[in-house]
Amino acid sequence: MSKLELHISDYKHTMEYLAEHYDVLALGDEGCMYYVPLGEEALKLARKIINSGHMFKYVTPKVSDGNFTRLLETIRLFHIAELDYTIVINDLGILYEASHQKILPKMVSLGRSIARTLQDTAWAEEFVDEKNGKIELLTNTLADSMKYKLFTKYGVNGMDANLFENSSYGFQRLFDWGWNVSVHIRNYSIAFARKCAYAKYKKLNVGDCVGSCREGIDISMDQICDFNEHRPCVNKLQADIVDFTLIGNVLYRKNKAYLDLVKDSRIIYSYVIHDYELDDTDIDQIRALL
Amino acid sequence: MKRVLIKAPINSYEGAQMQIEAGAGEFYAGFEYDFRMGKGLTFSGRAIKSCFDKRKTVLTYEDFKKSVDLAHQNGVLVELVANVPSINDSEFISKNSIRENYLDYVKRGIDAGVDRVIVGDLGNLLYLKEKGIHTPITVSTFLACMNKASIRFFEDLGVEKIVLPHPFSLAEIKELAQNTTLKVEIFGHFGCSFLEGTCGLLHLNNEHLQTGIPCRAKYRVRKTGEVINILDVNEDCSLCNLDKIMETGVDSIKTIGRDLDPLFMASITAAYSLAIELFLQGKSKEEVLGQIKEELDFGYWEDVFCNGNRCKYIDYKYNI
Repeated sequence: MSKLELHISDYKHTMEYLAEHYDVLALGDEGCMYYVPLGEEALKLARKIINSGHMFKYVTPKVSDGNFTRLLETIRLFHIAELDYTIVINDLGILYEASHQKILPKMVSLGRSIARTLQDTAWAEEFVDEKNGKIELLTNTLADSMKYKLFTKYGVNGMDANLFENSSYGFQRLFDWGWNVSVHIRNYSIAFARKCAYAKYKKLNVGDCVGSCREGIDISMDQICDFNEHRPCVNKLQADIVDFTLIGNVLYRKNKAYLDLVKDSRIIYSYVIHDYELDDTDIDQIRALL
Repeated sequence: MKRVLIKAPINSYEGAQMQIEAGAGEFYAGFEYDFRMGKGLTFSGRAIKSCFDKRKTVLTYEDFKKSVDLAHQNGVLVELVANVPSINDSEFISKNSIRENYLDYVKRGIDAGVDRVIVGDLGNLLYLKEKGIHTPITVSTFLACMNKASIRFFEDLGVEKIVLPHPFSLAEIKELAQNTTLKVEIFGHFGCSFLEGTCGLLHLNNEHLQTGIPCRAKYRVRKTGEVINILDVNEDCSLCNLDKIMETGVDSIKTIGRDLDPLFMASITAAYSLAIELFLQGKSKEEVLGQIKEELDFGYWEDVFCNGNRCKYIDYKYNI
């Protein structure tokens, strides 16, 4: 049976969820280092989660060299402590170095900024069609024997991905290869940035916006613009397909179809919900479907 | 200070001629190829035609070959754009699999004489290596190398050059460029707000919808009603920082615009080319900009990029 996973976005609130009935509690972030617990603090929180009867998942973003060592040393600390956990990696450099240093845990998943599909856009249907490989194009990029062979050498055996109508073929393939597939059932990720649009809009220093950025900023495309600054932006895009939510440095859309997909799927290791998505989600209904 | 090459896009033979005259040191280009993914996505990572102007983003194969020859006669290198991202090798479409056609496209590019192949999907890179392609490979910015270890990841795969994503400080670029055996390229002019390869705001893929450049669009903030380019990082131009870029150790700067007017793109190359020569002569930033204003039509540039504060590699305070 699939597991239900709660991703606690702000690790300072970990204690509030220890008594909750989730199979997996995740800490960290796929986009922002400021949400990732590090060092002894991370180890302490991980142990509390494990001791409370949950599985622990540690989610890590892409990192520049400025943050690289701190993150790698935390992974080493977990290794020395023989922690039983899953790591989600979004940075090929972290994967490379942690694998070479043999400090990765047994469960290694690639995150949503690597496990991409062409469907991770607001208008995928605009450039795929039934005739020319619709499903082939929309299948997750990791459902690929070439990548499978390479990533297996690095210890990878899972992925975190967005969940779409056409996901099942790729998921089945990964399942057949022995990978664990976790899917996000509420917001799906559209785009990841390093320069934080939320902090810029709010005129806050990055790091100072931890917590507040999880409220998200709902936006809709109003005027089309391009590189030609002499050509004025124009109003002619259908608003219904361009509604986004900006959460920190990552752009998301709400996934409306997840309940049907939950019912159909037997190849999903876990379903992921973020704490800031709980208000919009009927968790009891999802539990019943699982 | 090191001379950097300008890698410019071409979408026609005439564009190749203009770019050579303007001082480009490298081209990147694709050519028309029968296999289409979906409604028109090509292996070059773009549709054949721009949504806005219906301008072609790739050359005919004949013009492509002619352009490669012309480039080589003038000491200019050519990279084949084969950087379609997020592809897999799903097996259930029995005829004309994507990978087999991709290999054929790359081989035709190699037959035309290209010097490197730009790859944007890890599986494609591994596939080309497995199939014995020895032409040097450039790792596209789609593969988002953020640190020294990720560059080592690709060094181990035997590539020759890496294109860094946009949002780095000059100090970070220097650190990365000086700690690898690979050639390193950064974006010189124009660029994206999000990390390419992790960005689903796709455009120029033959979508029937006119999305423009979605990260530059004006968005309405639902809560306040404010209409603002909230996703736009406001970074286009690195002319003023070119002297500092030339001290980082990078090998080339890339300008983008395969869908734009070749004359316009050549004018950008001309400005950077002149600036490189003047900086190498030891001129100050003020002298360089002064001479560019004298010699080139700089009104548009000054209006849009300078007055619009769209400078690259200056503002790092929102970088995570």
